[in-house]
Amino acid sequence: MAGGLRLTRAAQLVVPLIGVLVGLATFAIVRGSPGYAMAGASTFLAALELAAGWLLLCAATVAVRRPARRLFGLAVWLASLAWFVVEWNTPGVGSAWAFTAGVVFATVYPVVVTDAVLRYADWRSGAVTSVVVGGAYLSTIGLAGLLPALFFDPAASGCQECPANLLLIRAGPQVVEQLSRAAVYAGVGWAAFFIGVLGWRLARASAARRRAAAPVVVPALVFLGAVGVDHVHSWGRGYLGTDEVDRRLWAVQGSLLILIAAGTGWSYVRRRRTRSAVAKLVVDTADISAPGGLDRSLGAALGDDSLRVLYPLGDGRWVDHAGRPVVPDDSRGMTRLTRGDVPIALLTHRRGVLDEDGVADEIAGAAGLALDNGRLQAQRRAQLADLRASRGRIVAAADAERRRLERDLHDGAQQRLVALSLAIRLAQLRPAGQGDSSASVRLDRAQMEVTAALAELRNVARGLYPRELADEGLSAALEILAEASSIPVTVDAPVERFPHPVEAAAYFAVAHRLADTAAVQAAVSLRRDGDRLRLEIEDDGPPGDLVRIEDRVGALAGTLSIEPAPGSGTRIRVELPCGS
Amino acid sequence: MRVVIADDEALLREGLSRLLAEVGVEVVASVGDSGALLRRVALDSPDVAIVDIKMPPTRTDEGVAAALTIGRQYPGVGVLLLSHYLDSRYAMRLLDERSGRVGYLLKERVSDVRVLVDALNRIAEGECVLDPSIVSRLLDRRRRDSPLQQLTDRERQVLRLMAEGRSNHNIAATLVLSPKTVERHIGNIFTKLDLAESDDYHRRVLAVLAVLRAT
Repeated sequence: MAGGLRLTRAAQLVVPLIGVLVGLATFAIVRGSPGYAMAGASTFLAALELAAGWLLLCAATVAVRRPARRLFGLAVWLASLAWFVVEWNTPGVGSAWAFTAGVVFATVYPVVVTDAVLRYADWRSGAVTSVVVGGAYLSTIGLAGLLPALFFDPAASGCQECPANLLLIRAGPQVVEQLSRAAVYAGVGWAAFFIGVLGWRLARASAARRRAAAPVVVPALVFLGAVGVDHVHSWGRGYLGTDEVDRRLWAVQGSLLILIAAGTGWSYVRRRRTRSAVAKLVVDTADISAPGGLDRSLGAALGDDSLRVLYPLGDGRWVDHAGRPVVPDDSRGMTRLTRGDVPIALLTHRRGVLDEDGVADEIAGAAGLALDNGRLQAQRRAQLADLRASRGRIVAAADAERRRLERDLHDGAQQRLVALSLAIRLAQLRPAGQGDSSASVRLDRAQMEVTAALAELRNVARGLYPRELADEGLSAALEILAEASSIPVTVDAPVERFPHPVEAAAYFAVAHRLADTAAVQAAVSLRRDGDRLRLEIEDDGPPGDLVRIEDRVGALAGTLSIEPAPGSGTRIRVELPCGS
Repeated sequence: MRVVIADDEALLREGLSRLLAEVGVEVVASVGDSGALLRRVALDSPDVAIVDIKMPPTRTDEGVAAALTIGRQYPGVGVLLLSHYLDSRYAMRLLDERSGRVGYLLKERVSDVRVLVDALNRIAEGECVLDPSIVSRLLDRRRRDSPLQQLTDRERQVLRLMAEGRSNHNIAATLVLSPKTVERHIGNIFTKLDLAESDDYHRRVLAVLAVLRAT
């Protein structure tokens, strides 16, 4: 929206310069005709007037440098000019052009100030508010300025020294009086409306937003109060005058303009503080490189412990610093950090923490390196998790296949072999020819072959996937494994079920080790420790090749460690996450 | 000898029926699941039921449950369980919960008529039968610091037969020893294994098996 309003470097210099000159000119006008001027009574008031206008000018100059604040800056600049113009409908102004401008714009400054404050707080957008702001401009510039100027003859109304009114068509004091009265009535209305809008929106704003807006909005409320009171004071009289009460209320307004200008400065300081805290992140790399370090650092810089940095995976998913998938929670505040148009991170935080505009851009800029680092790490971890899940699925699928094969062997091949051996036996009982001893010998041999095949088949099936591991669990399977082992094995395992993949990984770790080891005895112990299953296999053989165990353990995100055991043996420790 | 066969494999039921008929064992019924088995046992009062451990619906250990039910409801009917698995725990569970008249054989034993008929006879007489392969695996695994290592070869032979569920008489006949000698060996074994001597045959089998499994 501010993109269209590009200010060149020259304009950035000319704009404040105009303000400075207008201020100096106004000071001269006040000194030239102190009797008519609002600030004519004392040097202090003149200085107050000048300070208010110029401080607004400063605020405007700072604001227009930031694209997002440009419209606000222009509004403040206009407010400072409008504030000075009040003094121009006096004899001291000297020029008829300036005098006419003074007559037209004398009462517009409260509206411009309000407009600027609404823009500052981002509350300008409401439809009703826009209409009332427009109406207030029409009332102050039209009803109280342009229209009466057509009928206002300064000389006829008693100011002989005043310059000529260039807009004068014909003198009409009664028309002027009626228009001014209408403007005063309208002024009471818009002043009350603005007080209501600012007060209500301030009350409704989030805590962070209120903190940011209050230094400007609160003095603006008091300022509008003074404006409203002045209009009420002028109700009977029908025009905004320069009596003692008017001047006092005007002085109050001037003081509040100083506070408003200072308020915008305060928010500037606050932003600078945030920026420097965020910038510190870049230096704080030691802290950031720890897992979740950036979350903590950013949270500390922005005063929100619950702040989390989420990173895009590029496929629409978001992950946290550890690469865990996270579905952004709508109930919390969310701020997207982008570089160009590419999202680099999503901050979830307490609502209102990052409401101030521009802070997100500052974070994206200042913490850019850390964010890139965090994103790469998170993406890497997410990929790792994907990979591990895929390995886990592969192992689980292989296990399921082994179980199926085991059942098939028992229910199919083994049954048929038993039936075959029965058939052979029947043939033996009724030999084809009496006394055919060679046939009987051949059948005997066939019977032995079948028996051997059955024994081998049983071993193969057991090696595939022991039935009791699926049906009864780890302790039963290990007990039978130890019973069938060629070396003495002691087993210490709780009778407790674990998820199938965990039981299979632990079982096959032991089975592989017992099959591979050159030991003469072994001890297996198993226990649950919270959400981990701890397995220890100790024997008196050398470590040997543990790749098969590593593969299974790794697929479940478990850990495997090896250490020497007494008697030049090996102790294998396996830890498997097993839920709780 | 009258038997009922329960096995969900028709081919095996058929072969086993014919084989048993050949050696003079009367097969009064052959069924495919444990419900039918219990009905036939109630109707036919066989001497022994030959039961496959895996039967519908879950095909895991229905046979064990059926054996225990038969033991409770018809204590005079023996049960011979057949399994493809060398699982000493099934055997222990059966022996634990039934006092005699029960056996556990590897399925392929059915083709060895002598072993099968011997098992049926022993069960019918009230003994227990445990497959020699299971006993061998328990007895022959390597041990360290076990009292079993103090046994002489002869004592090991006697222990093996005890674990298979054989009576003193049967052991004496098998090893061609006098009953007195067998009793002496058993006394020595019990002393060496630190077991309390018991005249109860069934308890003796259990105690021996427990020692074999535990050490």
